[in-house]
Amino acid sequence: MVSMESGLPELDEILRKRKRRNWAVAGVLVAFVVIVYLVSLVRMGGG
Amino acid sequence: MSRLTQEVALSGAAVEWQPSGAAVRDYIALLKPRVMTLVVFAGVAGLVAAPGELHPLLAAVAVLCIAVGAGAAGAINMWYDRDIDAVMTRTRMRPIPAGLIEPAEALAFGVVLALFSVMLLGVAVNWFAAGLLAAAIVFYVFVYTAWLKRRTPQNIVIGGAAGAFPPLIGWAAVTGEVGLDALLLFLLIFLWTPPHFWALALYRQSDYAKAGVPMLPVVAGKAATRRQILAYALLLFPVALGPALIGTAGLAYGAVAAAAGGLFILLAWRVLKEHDDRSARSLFGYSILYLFVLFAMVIVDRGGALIGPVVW
Repeated sequence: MVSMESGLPELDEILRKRKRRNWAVAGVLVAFVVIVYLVSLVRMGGG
Repeated sequence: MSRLTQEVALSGAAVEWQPSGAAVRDYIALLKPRVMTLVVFAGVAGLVAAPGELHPLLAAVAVLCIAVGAGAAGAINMWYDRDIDAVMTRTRMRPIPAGLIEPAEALAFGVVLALFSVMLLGVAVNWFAAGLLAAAIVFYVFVYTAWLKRRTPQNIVIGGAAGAFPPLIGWAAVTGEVGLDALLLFLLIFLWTPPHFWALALYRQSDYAKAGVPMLPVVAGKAATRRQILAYALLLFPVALGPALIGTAGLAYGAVAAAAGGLFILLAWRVLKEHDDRSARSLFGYSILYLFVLFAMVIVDRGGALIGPVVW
């Protein structure tokens, strides 16, 4: 696994923030898929 | 060129690269979470007050879409108003003027969320409610933000309609239409908006003047604004009683609306008579509580409607 450390404190902080943003985006996308899946179940069930 | 950009350039990058330093909380700030709370509350009140039933999951999706749609409109508003936000003390620490998020990034974020919320509401619940959400976003962005805000002291009177949409959307999510009851909830927020924002503008007058935003105290003066605040408080009183009179809410709501409305008028009267920032601040703070309490009472009075039989 490649380290994210660049040796530049400012850049390291930005990379950390980017990593957290990527996780947040991934979380939102997964939540979206789950919502669409559940909505489909409800709609197809006539609810 | 910043030290970081220079160092990246020196390290061999072919193109000058300015990485974004925005954190997740900066994107959340773009969505105006405090405004979103009130919007969600009003949307839930519309959902609960509406006759009929909606599957709890679809109701939750409807509330999510209203919240995200409102947040998206807020993000686009911050993109458009970034020049005046940088001038005003109250808004200069917002993510764009603070340099945390690029304007284009904020615009893209807002547009994507707006499309997402409208499409999801349409697919999951119904397209009438989705159309109302789209109308609210369009009204807020184009009519209020881009057209009225910098041109007329009536900006928040007409523009206030955008903020009054959530109970309509909640109602439409359940019924697929908009009735008199829902329009009354719309009117409640519509008439509440001017005294709420004018109370703020009374003690932030210099901020608005500096940014060139023609809020009523800047254009017509504080005395005229205080009279207008009292006039709207008096108009608001019977409208707030309306849901109890036509049966959207019960007696408990009516009693609370009468007491809360009376206090609203009293505070507006104090603003007129005392001529100080303290009374305006009190009214501003109270106006937020007032709307929360009224919608909470609608929810309490009609609480059973949302929790219908679950049909999987």
